Amino acid sequence: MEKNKDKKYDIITNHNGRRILVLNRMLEVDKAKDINDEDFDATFISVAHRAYEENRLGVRWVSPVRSRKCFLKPLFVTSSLEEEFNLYGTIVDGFCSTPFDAGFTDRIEQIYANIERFGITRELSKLDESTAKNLTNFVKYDLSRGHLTYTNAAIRGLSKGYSADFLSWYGNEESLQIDDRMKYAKMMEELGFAERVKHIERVHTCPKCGDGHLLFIECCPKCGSSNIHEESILHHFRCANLSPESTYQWDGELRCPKCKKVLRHIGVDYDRPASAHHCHECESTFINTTMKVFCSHCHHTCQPDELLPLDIYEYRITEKGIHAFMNDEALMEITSEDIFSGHCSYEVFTSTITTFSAMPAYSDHLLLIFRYKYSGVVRDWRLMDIVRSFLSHIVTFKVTSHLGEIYTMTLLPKDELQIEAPRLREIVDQLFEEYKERDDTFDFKFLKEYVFDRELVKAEEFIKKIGEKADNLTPVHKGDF
Amino acid sequence: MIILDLFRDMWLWLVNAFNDVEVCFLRNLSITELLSVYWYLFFIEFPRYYLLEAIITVYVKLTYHLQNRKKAEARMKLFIERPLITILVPGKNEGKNIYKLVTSLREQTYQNYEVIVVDDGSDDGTSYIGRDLEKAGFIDRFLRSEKRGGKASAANFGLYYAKGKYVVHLDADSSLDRDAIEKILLPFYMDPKIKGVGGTVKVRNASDTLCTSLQAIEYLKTIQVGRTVTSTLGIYHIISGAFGAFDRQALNNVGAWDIGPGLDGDITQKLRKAGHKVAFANDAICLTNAPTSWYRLYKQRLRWSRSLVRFRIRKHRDILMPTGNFDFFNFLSNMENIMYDCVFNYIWFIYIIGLLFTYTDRLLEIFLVGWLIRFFFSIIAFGVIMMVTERPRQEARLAFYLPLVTFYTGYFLRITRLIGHTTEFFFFTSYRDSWNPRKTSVYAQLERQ
Repeated sequence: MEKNKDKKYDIITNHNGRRILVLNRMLEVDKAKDINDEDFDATFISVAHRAYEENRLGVRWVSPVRSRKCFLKPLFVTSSLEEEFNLYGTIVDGFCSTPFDAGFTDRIEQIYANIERFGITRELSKLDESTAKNLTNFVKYDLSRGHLTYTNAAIRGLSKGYSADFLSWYGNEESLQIDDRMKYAKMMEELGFAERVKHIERVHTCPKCGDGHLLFIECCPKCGSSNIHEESILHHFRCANLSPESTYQWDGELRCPKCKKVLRHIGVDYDRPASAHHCHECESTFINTTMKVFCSHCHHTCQPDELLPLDIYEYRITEKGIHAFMNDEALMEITSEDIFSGHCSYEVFTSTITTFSAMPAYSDHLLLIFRYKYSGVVRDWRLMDIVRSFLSHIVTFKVTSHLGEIYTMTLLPKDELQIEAPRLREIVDQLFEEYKERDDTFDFKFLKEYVFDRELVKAEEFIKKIGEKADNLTPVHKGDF
Repeated sequence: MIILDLFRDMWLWLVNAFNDVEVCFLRNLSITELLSVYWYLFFIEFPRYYLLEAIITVYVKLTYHLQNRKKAEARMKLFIERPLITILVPGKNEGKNIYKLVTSLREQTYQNYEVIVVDDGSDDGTSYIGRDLEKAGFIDRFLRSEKRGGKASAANFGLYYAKGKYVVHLDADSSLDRDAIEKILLPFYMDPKIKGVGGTVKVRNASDTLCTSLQAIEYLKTIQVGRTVTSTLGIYHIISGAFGAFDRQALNNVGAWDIGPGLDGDITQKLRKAGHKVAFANDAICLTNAPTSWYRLYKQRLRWSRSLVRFRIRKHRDILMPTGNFDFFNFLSNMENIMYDCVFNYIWFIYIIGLLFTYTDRLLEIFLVGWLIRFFFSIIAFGVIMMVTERPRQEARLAFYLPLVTFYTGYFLRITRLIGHTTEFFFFTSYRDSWNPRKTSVYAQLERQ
């Protein structure tokens, strides 16, 4: 089939009846109004831009992980980009020269077969969603590509040293920092969603910031400068003279400083039994250098024995795990440590308040907390449903449940409080209403609204306040507590 | 009853034997005959090793007060200047001894020193011990050669990094008296021409075996007494490698240490030839371990004897020649050492053979009387030792071994020396000795004329 070079994109059908979106230009598919999710099953980028970064951007725009319309859809790229992209772990499923390539066709079928097999649901919400949702998306992507095992492989240039393959596409926006990833792995294991397959590596990380990008520098034991040079020590057999090579240098030849004989043959006339280092900063000479470790992230210097060891494993997603992720059950289990979104435990909820009060970046922000009572036991399936709805629709809320009550938290700039507060309250109420329509055994009641202004009240007091037993509380507004 | 009879018979036999001896030999013996039979003892050994030493020691004792005043002056100068001393300890596989040595150094009355330990290709844990001691601050510098180069090269290696005005060279298994460093530095301040000072070496493990006890007496006599005498006469010829101090500049000027064995005697020769004076400090005491078995002792003395031939007779024979650098005292010191240690050994050998043939029928009496004479000599020598030593009480108990000293010095050491000198003269055995690493020996052998 001919590609119309003037058209930005084209949708063609391949042998199996799958529709392929062929891109002749870099296109942000999510924003393109005339392309819809149902219009195509796979993507093919047929053009290579001269600038490398442009190519990467083009791929990100149709990423099967992050893009909404292209979520989980197979992605192939023209072979001329094969060399460039191979350096990085890939979210590109393969390279070929035409969309009708046999390999491409097969791979499409494979991926859809995986999606069928694991029952992966293809819904993607907005970009700034909770960490938990992010994780599930990654897991879904992995499963659809048939990767049942995941591991943290060493990525070139990635400052944390180890990461999941496809995150390299997101450079500085990597959403899974190493702490989160380790907790994620541990959590997955604890919940039974993944099992350890093998031990990959034990790496050492900076004791201050946990970064894996360390520089090991040999330096002078006295002054710590690395401006040192090494010199051999020569032993002249004839006269038992043992001194550095520089004392023997004589116009390109080696001549003994003691007996003035020229050295000709190593092992017969002379030998090199040792070497000494000389520091140019403090002019001292020494035999053994010391090693200092420099963290390229936080610029902290330390000794090699102060480094923190970190074990990296390979994991495999278990049946239980697959099941949990596909049914979004996992969302409930995986708590989000993100500051202001997602579902979390009550302890984390309250500690977020404390953290917020100490953060200088949010000095002119407030926390708005809604407290609802709902009919049902704690950890009821209804609660899971509700929370799941929250996570899907309202991304900027942090939600928790405590003693049969639901708390939601959101962050607002101070001056927007008057306008936003009622609007948000309306949104939440509507959510509950919607749910109530679906399930008539459910009932809810708005209890109270709290506003946390760190200049007016201390975090501990506030936390106590919101935890107080409340029966028949009437809603109050700001200023009334 | 039978036992009593046995005793009685033995006693009677002894008395008879004594009577026989007395009758056949002693009664008929005149002074001239005695002298002609034992001429070696009376004309060669006695004058140099007993009479001379006694006289000089008495002289030293008499001038004690003058000496003390000079020493006090020197001490004051030393402590006013307080120069940095480099303590150099080369060795191989000496890890377990280094800590003890460093501990004894901390007890010194003179504390302005830096310690340089050189590890000459050790293959045990010495490198780890040394590095840890350096990190902990017990040692100032720990140098290590991955390949063994021999003691001289190790000492030169350490000397390259030395910063002190004086260099004190120690063996790793030496330990020092509290004032040893101070005392060994005094001669430098008593006479500015002195560039090398030897310390007194005594045996630490004297009560281990018979062998070590006899060596203890030998060291006392030949080192503490003997070197005091030669030093007073100006013919002192060997600064012991176990404990010696040198002026660093002079040391570098004569080219520091050359390949051993006998590198301690060799460097003393070099210093003397260069026109410097060397002295002996008989109150700077260092204790070292002597070989405990006869076999090891034998090996050690063989090596010493070979080194005499290799260095004094071959390498430094120009001391004996009328060259431009001729100095009478240098000549005398070298000559005295060669004569008494080497030449007279051969003469003794001839003398013994002569005795065996001349007096074949009276060998037992000759032997007994000879032993008796020697025993008296050694009592005199012990008296001299007691005059000089600073630990008379502890060393007094060595007197019990005096009867055996004659066998030790008179026969064992003599024969060892004979074998050593002869094999070195004719077979150049020292070049095959594993005391030096083979690579250096091969080269040295290629070089020898």
